[in-house]
Amino acid sequence: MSNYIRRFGDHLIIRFPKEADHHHLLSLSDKIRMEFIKKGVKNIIFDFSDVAFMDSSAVGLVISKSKTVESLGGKAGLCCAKGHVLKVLNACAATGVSQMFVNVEDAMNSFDKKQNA
Amino acid sequence: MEFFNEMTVSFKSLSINESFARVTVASFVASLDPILEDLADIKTAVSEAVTNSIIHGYEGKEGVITIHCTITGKKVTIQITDNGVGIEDIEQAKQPLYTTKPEMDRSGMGFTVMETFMDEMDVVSCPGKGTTVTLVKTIA
Repeated sequence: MSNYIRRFGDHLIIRFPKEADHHHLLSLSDKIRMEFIKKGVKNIIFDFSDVAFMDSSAVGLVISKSKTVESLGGKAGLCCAKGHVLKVLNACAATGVSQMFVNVEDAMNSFDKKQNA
Repeated sequence: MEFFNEMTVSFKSLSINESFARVTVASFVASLDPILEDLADIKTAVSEAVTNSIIHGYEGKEGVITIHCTITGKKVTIQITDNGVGIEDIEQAKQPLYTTKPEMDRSGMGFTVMETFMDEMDVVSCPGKGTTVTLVKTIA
């Protein structure tokens, strides 16, 4: 598992790199796919807390992986998006695709509650 | 007399040069003392255009991308040119969510971001010969 991917129970946390462009995300998509092949991953949470620059390459990854998760009955969330990151997400209407959360814990708690409801 | 400055930079169509391109343009524009938001908008738009040239123009093959940037008064004009495959239908390519590379997790929002973040955007393309994207922003 790369430094950008962590797993807590059935949640997969994707911590985007500081420069979230096409070049820096090249290998991340395959790594996420590999994690999904392993048993147990249900939800995906995208963490933007380290991101200083982002373009629509990151949005493409978010939309694609969110659709995969939701087609398998899971949920996708975005957290720690602010400033320019939020502006790019809004410009691409990505905030309508996935739920927004203040932080990773908030997202995990929300998904756990819905699962247990 | 109105202030005028210009620069031209050419580089290989390697993805590692995406950050070089946007930082170079941002450094050039910095002489206008823009607010951070304007600088971030310009960097994002340049990154989108250069990424398009690498992925769609040259389809991952080796080529050259040229950026010509001018400053006239407070107006910044950035032209990003490739000699790649070109775009058959520019209006279709500009549609939000339209992408020819969904398998690469492309959002199809590159042109939408460029249009949203800049004051003007123009695309000229000749299939088989290449594409030039012109981005314009006036710094307040």
